[in-house]
Amino acid sequence: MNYQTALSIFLPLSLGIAAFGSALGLGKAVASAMEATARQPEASGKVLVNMMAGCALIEALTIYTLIVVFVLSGKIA
Amino acid sequence: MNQPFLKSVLKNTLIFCGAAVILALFLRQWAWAGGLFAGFCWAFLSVYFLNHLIEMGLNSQEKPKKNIFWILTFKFPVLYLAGFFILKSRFFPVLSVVAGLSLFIPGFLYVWLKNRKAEARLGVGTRVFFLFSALSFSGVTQALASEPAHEGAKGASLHILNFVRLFSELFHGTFFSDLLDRFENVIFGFIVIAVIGLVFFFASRRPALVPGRFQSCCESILEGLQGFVCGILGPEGKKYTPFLGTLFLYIWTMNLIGLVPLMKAPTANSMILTLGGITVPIPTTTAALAILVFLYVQSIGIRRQGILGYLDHMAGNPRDIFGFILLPLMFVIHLIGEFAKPLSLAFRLYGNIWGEDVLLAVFMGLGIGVCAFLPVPAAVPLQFPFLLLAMVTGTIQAFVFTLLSTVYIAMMLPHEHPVAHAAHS
Repeated sequence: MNYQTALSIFLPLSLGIAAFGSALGLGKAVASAMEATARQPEASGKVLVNMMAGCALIEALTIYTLIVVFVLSGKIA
Repeated sequence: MNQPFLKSVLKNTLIFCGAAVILALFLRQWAWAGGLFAGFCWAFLSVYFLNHLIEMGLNSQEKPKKNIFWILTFKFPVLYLAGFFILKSRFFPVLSVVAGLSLFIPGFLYVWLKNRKAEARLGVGTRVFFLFSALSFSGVTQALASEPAHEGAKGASLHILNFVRLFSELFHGTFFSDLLDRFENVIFGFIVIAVIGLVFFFASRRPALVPGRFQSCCESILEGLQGFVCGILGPEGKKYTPFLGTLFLYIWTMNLIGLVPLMKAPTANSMILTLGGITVPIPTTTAALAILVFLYVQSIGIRRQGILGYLDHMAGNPRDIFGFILLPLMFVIHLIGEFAKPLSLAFRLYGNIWGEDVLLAVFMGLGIGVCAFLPVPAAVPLQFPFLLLAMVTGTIQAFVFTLLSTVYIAMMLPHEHPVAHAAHS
């Protein structure tokens, strides 16, 4: 297996793995936010904003992987 | 959905179908007439059975269970298998069958409009319907204006045709076309700036004490932004509202302008750079905005905390011996963290909007490919649902960019209020 083959197999896979972890984190964050909103509906605005900030930070981890994939995908061709 | 309604729909669709088949026969398109009729029969039977099911569900005096079972297990599968084979056999043109099926939509609309009370004003449903039809029209024109796949060199990606590219191909080979190619995204950026500027200029030209519709709309946007920023930064957030609000409006408009036919979202643009054998897409527009935010945040940190306070913040506020032992490590970690912020800001915005654009382009290509056998240029707006999705994504991403910039500023301010503490920990 030359390195092009390895890259073209594992680059999408790495993005998938990172997205999997992010999805677990996002699911947890959103679930807790939903619970908080259900307990205290009057605080829904604040909960939403804080949840968005947290979600953006969690998402950033997948984006770092995306950057790595972008950088390395130039090596395939 | 009451039964007279469904029966009326069936009756009206029968008339529509008769007219369409007669038209097709008149044009001597035998296969088309057959396909229309087959598709219509299929949809007619399907709705008829559905009507039957509803009827049986409503009057439950008779023993309905057996009949429902009969319909569900036998009639519907047979019907769907028949439809599958009609489509699969290619005996009739596929488009004619689909057209026959969709004859129900005008029938449905016709009956609905007829049944509406005449004195009622333009209801919410009608407005939503008009919005949707306008959007789907924009989808059709967008699909017609797009080119299936722009085969570039390495790293070829799908493009939706925009008017700058159109002009550049019109003047192909001249200096003007080169200029247009080079400044494509800048042109769209300036268009966005002009749109926002003109809207707010005309809104604030003759400010009235009792604002009209237009003025109060713009004012409510600004008040919302002010409330959002002050909600995170506290009362001193008023100073930072102009920058952050402009950021939001600019990014939001840039994201949404990509959905207008012949326009392009400048946020979805990237420049392929090759640095020492490594190819990296640099999202120029979003990177510029992210660098701006980065510089602004650092300058706020230095101005509000002083040079020493800023360095103290970067070193993780060492107060005891462990803090001073860990100082080099903390400093490096904070430095990397600061530089990771603009990186993630830029790539988040770029990745989301670019992905959305590629999705739209792929489905447009599909919509054009479906109609490729027709002698006239036509397209099915398959990308229509994704236009709605793109509206939501564009708004959310603009919001997230602004929110994160606000949080970064809050983290840089001297720690007085609890929100900055919460964001920091």
